[in-house]
Amino acid sequence: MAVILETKERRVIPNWRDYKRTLQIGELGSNNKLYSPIKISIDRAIIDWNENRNIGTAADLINSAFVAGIHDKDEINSAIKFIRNNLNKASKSLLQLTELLKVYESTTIIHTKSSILEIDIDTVDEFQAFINNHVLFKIINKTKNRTRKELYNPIVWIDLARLYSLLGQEKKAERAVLIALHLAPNNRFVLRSATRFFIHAKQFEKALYYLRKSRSLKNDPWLISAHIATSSIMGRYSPLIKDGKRIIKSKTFSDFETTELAISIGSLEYNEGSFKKAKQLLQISMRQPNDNSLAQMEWLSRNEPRLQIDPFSFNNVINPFEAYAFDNFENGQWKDAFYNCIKWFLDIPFSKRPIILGSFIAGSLLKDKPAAIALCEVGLQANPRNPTLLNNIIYDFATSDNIEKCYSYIDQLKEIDLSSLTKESKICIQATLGLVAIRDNDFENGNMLYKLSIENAGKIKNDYLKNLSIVNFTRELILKNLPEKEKYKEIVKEMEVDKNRKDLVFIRDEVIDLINKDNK
Amino acid sequence: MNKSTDNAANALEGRLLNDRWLVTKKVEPKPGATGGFFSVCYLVEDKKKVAFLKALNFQAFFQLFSGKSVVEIINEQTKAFKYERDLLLKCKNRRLSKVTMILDEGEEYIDGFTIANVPYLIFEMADGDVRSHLNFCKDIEIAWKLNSLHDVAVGLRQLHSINIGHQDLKPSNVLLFQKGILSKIGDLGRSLCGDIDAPHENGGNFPGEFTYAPPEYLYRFKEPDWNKRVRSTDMYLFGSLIVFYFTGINMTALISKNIDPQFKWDKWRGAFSDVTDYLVDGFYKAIKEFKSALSNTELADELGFIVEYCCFPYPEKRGHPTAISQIGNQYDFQRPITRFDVLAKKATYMFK
Repeated sequence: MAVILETKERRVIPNWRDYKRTLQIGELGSNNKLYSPIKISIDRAIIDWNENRNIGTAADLINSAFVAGIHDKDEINSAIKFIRNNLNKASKSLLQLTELLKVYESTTIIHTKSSILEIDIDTVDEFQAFINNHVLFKIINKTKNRTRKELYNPIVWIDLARLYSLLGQEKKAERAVLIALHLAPNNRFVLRSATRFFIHAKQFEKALYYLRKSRSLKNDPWLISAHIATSSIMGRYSPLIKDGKRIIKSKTFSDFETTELAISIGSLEYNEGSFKKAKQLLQISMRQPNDNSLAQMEWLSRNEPRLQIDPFSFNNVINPFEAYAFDNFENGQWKDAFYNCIKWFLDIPFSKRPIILGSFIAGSLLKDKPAAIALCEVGLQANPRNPTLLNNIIYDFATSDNIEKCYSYIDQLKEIDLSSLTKESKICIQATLGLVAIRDNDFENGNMLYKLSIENAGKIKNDYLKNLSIVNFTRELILKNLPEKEKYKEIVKEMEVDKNRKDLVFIRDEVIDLINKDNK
Repeated sequence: MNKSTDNAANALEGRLLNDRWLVTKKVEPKPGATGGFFSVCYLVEDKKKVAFLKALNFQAFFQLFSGKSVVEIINEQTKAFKYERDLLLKCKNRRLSKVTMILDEGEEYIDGFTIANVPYLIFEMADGDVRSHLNFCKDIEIAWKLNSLHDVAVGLRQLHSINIGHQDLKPSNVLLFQKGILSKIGDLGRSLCGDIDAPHENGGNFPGEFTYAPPEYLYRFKEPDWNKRVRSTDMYLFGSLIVFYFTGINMTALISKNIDPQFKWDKWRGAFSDVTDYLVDGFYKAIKEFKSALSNTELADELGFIVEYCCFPYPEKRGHPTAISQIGNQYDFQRPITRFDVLAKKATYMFK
């Protein structure tokens, strides 16, 4: 059976986007109130321009105005006009500068979009085209060329590492990350991206090592938050929690800059049972959330009635796809949830969670097997040995009656150390292997595996997995008209399902329809 | 006598100075002169040539700093004037060929004024500054631009050789002589000297005009090592001048143009060290943009390389890559001088 197997505990791990979009989202700015800018005069350039009007003095004034951030002087306008009237003496760059001065004069640039993606797509066909057209290889090639020309640019190395991560080329990605860290050991973008990479590669100690090594760590809320998240994955308490609390209390940073930090510490307080302290921090975090803190809040609210939240009410959050996808999913809005998964994936393409949720929705709820398979294939590129993705793709091929394909992925599954998997993962794999066996007309093994799965789910008192396994098994029994089908029909009919698990309700109802048809 | 007429600096016309220079005409301050407001300028002539006189205008200081004590103002401005004069004399003694020459200096006593002494400096007369000669359209006057930049690089090296850093190199301070054939660096008013204390040194702040300043100054970073600070600043300003010659934009504006507005110095509220990597990213884009302003790819690569090592956003990485490892030689101008010499010669037939 296909599953989501959502993490037991979500942490506020930094999201890793390409540099361009990280900039647009505003995670790299610095609004520390301790610093103030220098005042710059452009009087000399104005006097020169007034005394001697030529392209040189006009350019001089435009440069001065642009650097000084002054736009509202008559002389500047007359210099702009002069340059535009003398195109035979002006360079393209100078003309662009005059346009930029005009833009700054008329507006302050504010990103009002709620979605910033490398590519936006509306259909699964477009998504498949995106995956298959070798765009990625072209981008990698271009980025590699940039690293050769821009020897000291750590940002290009990080972007290259991210691209390698998308393809699952972990060694190459790590080399690029290490070069970036060597060039910029204190840079927030580099450190947060590196942390995300090392967590992805399960090298948690390395993530902490580079964070600790940075002199920016103690005073940067974005880095402290990354340190807390990494420590939490490792089951440790970050020694920086105190510093984090001090920063939040000091109000030296904007609400947006401390949103991840506040929700990281708030989540820890919540897990410790200090609801009052947690709530205060969560409220601070939601003053100006980003996509990550909003998704964390949505996740916390799923099991805590005192923390109800409507993610759709936060209009200013850019790329809130994770929170939206889960909210849609919880409410049974499968299509919306699916498209938000796609957007979430396009936003953070090496992350497996949007793929797992999206492929589950497509394969088990929307019955769009090609879409589910396409998603799993893409996810396996970056996470080639992920048992849930392998399980789900086997399920989708099996339910599409493509048994041959199933066996090639089962071979990949065998390469994983199955004993290291969680009990939940094992239960799912047992059910899926049971499905493959039944579809391959090996009823004996199929029955045995499904029953094992149901039994093991019962042992760990996981009603959701137990019921999901029963429902799937019953469907297969009916489809193959196997002797035990009547027994399981009754079990399904009498099954008590948690109404909040709308996916299970939906799948169970489908099987009940099948039972009714079979009874006729 | 009222305030406006009680100004000896305005009364020089017609006087013979040092028994040689006849003051013929009052003019506007010469292009780009530091403290134009604080000077009264004249044309002067001897039997051979016309020259340019800059007289110190005490009255202007009193107008501008009315709250300050007279003693304080006179002391400060006298120091500044004396400093500039000493530097210019130092340059004159060493016969620096690519730095504007001081021809004479002195102090004229004019009876009947509250402050009767008028200190003055007499400079060789320039045709104008480089801004009047530039055309930023692609491929225009490449050979001339390269020759002029060669002169400027030589001028900077000459200054460095006598322990002076110009610190205010900008288009208005590149003066043209001999109908534009010769370029010289002018205005040492904001220069720093290793041997003489500058009144404007101000604890490592940028002494020149901030709209041309290297990025580190805009983000309030002060390099403690005097030599490194002064020499790397001149190197940046020279690279920035190259970019201005071909695009009409200085490097500071070009980097600003290629970074996200949140990193611009007037928006950024963090330390310089935290913004440098974003400046580096913008800098590489700026280099690309600069190179695209030149049609000839060979020239674009040559100049792009020079600008890259002159203007790197932080001082440590400035200087020719080979020179960086040579102690005391990192910010030497010999390499760009040699390249500009070769390029200027090539330009006459190759980059037409």
